[in-house]
Amino acid sequence: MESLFRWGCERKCAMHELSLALSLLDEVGAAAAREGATRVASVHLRLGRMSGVVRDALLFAWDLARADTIASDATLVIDEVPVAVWCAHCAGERSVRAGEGLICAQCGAVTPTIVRGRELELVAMEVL
Amino acid sequence: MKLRVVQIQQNILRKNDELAGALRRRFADSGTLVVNLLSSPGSGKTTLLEATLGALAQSYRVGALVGDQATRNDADRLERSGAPVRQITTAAECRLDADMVGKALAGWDALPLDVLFIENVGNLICPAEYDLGEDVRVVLTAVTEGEDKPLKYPLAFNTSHVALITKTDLAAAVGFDRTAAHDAIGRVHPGIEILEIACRTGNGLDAWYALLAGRLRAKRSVPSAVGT
Repeated sequence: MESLFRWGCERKCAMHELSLALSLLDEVGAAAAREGATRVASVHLRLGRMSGVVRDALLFAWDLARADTIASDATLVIDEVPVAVWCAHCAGERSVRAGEGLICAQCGAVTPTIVRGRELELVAMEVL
Repeated sequence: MKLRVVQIQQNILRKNDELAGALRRRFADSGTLVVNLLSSPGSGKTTLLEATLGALAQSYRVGALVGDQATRNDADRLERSGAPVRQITTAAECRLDADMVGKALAGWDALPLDVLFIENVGNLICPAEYDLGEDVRVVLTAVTEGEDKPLKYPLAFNTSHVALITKTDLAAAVGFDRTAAHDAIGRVHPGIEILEIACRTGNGLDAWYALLAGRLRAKRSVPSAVGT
């Protein structure tokens, strides 16, 4: 673990992703044990675009972190979730334009209620 | 052997959220107001805390946890205020989490406190995702950083309860556009309480202290509502 953290330090920006990959592996291990699985072939994650997580960095961290676990050859499949807000003005879920704040892309109203886009969710696994 | 699909619905920050919930119950019992300070490096978190610990220590039991990737320089600075301070050195981690806070509190003879400040690691991305059991999340942005930090890091501002615009004594020198800054904050968190402060001149600090005192009173007057 120490060496992984040192590696992350040198890579600078992937630290957050490495710690999340380790948390994800904890959840995968727990779920695999509940299921009586002997091997995990794939792990499916929903990742919000506003979760603060860089997809490629997480994939890179996953490859390192999964070694010597039940998921040592499991593929990480990431389903990216775009940001959606609740627009009270439109009375509906709407997208936002990146870099302009939480502004309804349709009507331009400020819509600070984020309904999707913060996900960091383990949603499924393929196991043996 | 055939592969089978297992459906799960599990937030991978679950452990942190559970630990943060336990911290929140603990601070509700002790009547401690917990303030989590977030900002980029160099926005003035430590300078604000130096002033705040000194001022509030006259009326309250105050203390601080200080997160940094390396060094205990910030803790050394804050200890000069006379208030109890503990440093959390996170090594490579770019944010504090509830587990680090819980461990830092263990065996601390300064507890219980009236107000506990948690100075997060200087970073506007990762700390926004980690609940530390705080009552008040405060995001700082200095006039020297420009006006558009909220648009670049919307989640930090969206999840905070108070926004502090710091170093306002330098506003003229750096051509700070006050209206644009307020507008940018309003675009990600309309209605958020915004204070403008300058620790070097003391401008705006009384309003900040009054805000904290008010939050502490509110927490203690409605114990059943705390932590919900």
